[in-house]
This record gives sequence, C-alpha cells and structure tokens, in this order.
Amino acid sequence: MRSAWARLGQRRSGVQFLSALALNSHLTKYLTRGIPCPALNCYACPVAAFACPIGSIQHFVGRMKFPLYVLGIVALVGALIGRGSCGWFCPFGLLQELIYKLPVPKLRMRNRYNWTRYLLLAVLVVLIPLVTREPWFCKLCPAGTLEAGIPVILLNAELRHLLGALYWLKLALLGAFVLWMSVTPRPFCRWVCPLGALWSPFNPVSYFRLAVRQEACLRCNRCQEVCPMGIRVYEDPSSGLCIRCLECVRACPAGCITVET
Amino acid sequence: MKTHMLNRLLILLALAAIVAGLLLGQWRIVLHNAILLCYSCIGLG
Repeated sequence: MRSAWARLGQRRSGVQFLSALALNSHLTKYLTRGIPCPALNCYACPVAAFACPIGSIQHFVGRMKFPLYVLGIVALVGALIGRGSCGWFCPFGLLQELIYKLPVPKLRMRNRYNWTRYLLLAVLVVLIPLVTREPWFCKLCPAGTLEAGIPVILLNAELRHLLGALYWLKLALLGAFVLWMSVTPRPFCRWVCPLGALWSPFNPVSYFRLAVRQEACLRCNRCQEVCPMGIRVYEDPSSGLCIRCLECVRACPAGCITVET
Repeated sequence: MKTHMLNRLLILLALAAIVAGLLLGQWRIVLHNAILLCYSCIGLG
C-alpha cells in the first residue's frame, strides 16, 4: 500500500497545475462562481471559476449573516482530506513551491509562532469585517494582488486613475512574500493563510490521515527535511500544519509513514 | 474508533450546514458577491 500512496505523491505537481487551470477556467464562471473553491483563489481574478471561501466569509460577516453554506463546504473538505487541498489544489501553494525552487540561498525556519494564522483569521476575516463591514483580509491578500490586482489594472486602463496607497501597499506585500517564498518553503501557508487555519483542526480527524509505524521509524529526520511545512512527521503525524503532500511518504527510507482511512 | 465516529459526525454536520445554507439562499449571495468586481481584492478601495 505504501508504494501506491508514494506513486500518488509523484503525481502531485500535475494535479496542482490541473487544479490551478480548473479553478481559473473562466468558461464555467457564471455557473460555478456560487460554489466556494477548496483553495485560496481570488474571485476578483478575471478568469476565476469559483468563489474564494475567505472572501465569501468576510462578505457574510459584513452583512451580519452566518456563512453556513461556505463553512459547510470548508468543513466537508476538511473532514475528508484535512489540509490536503493546500498541498494538492491551491494555486497559491503551487506558486510558493515553484518560487522556492529558485536557486537562491535558503532559510529553513522552525515552526514557531504558527498561531499567527489563527490570529489573522480572527482579526482580519471576522472581527474587523464585523465592525467595518469591509473585507480587510482581501484588502491585504497577496493572492488577490497577483490574481486580480495586477491583471485587472493591466486589462482596464479606465481603473488606473483609482490607484492609491492601498494598491501600492498590496504590491509591496506581494513582493515581500515572493522574496520570503524564494528562501523559505510555503511561508504564507505556515504563518498567514486563514483558510489553512480553518482546515488545521480537521487534520487529526479527517478521513485521510497520515500514520507512522513507530516501531519501524529510524528517527532519521528525512521526513522533516523533505516536508514543505517543516514538520517532524514521526512526532506528530496529525499536525495541523500537514498539507498531505505525501513527500514524507515518498522519502521515508523505512517506509513507515502511511495514509490511513 | 473514536476518530472514525467524529469524522462521520463532522461530515454529517458539514452536509447539514450546506443544505441549510442552500435553503436560506446563500448560494445566490455567494454567486452575486463573486460576480461583482471586488475593489478590495484589486486594491482600489
């Protein structure tokens, strides 16, 4: 069974590219944009086919309505695969992995202060939108800048006179994240993403979970070396950071990391 | 077994939330919001 999951892991890049295309396929957008997508994908992107769940949640919060439908879809995805969407379907996750391949000096950061993503979820997605009725995470989101801010302004000359400080702040934030992504694997997923924060608590109870046969584990730390989230898998296979990328399953020399259902 | 039961319960609750949201017309709200040009995402306001 181990080889089957390892073989599946080998196909992840292909799935990520296909997902990025499907989530931004344009053709179905008037039919499917009422469905929150299982990834952080900006709905202001001219070719986005689905709704951004974080943008939708802020919109509901701003209207003082409980986002039952959006949270239901987020919870269903979480209950099935935990944070697996981050590793397999998220276009911004794919971008981070591609940028990290750039041949520049690397800075492997320990997983400290990862609670910041919960703080950002509570403050920028719930509290501030509740008070101001404005989607404040969207105003700062670097995925939105990349997928909507840049292309929409390039495509619509009539909007350029509206550019102000917020636009340049968003561009600067995107630039800072791109620099960080080039030296540290998936920094946005580890410290910032509020959608990942929503899915993290599902990891220990999701249908697909990682498991380690402790008696066979060599404690060689190979799993942590290949993990884009920097997890020591044998210590906590149900970590809320795990994005189910299966890199550890492929790399484990003892073959002791498996997927259980 | 406890994890298994909790997982099935979460799936049921998620499905119930989706159905309840659909009955409340939230699909249309999401669609309407997603079709509008979001100035916040673009960085214009």
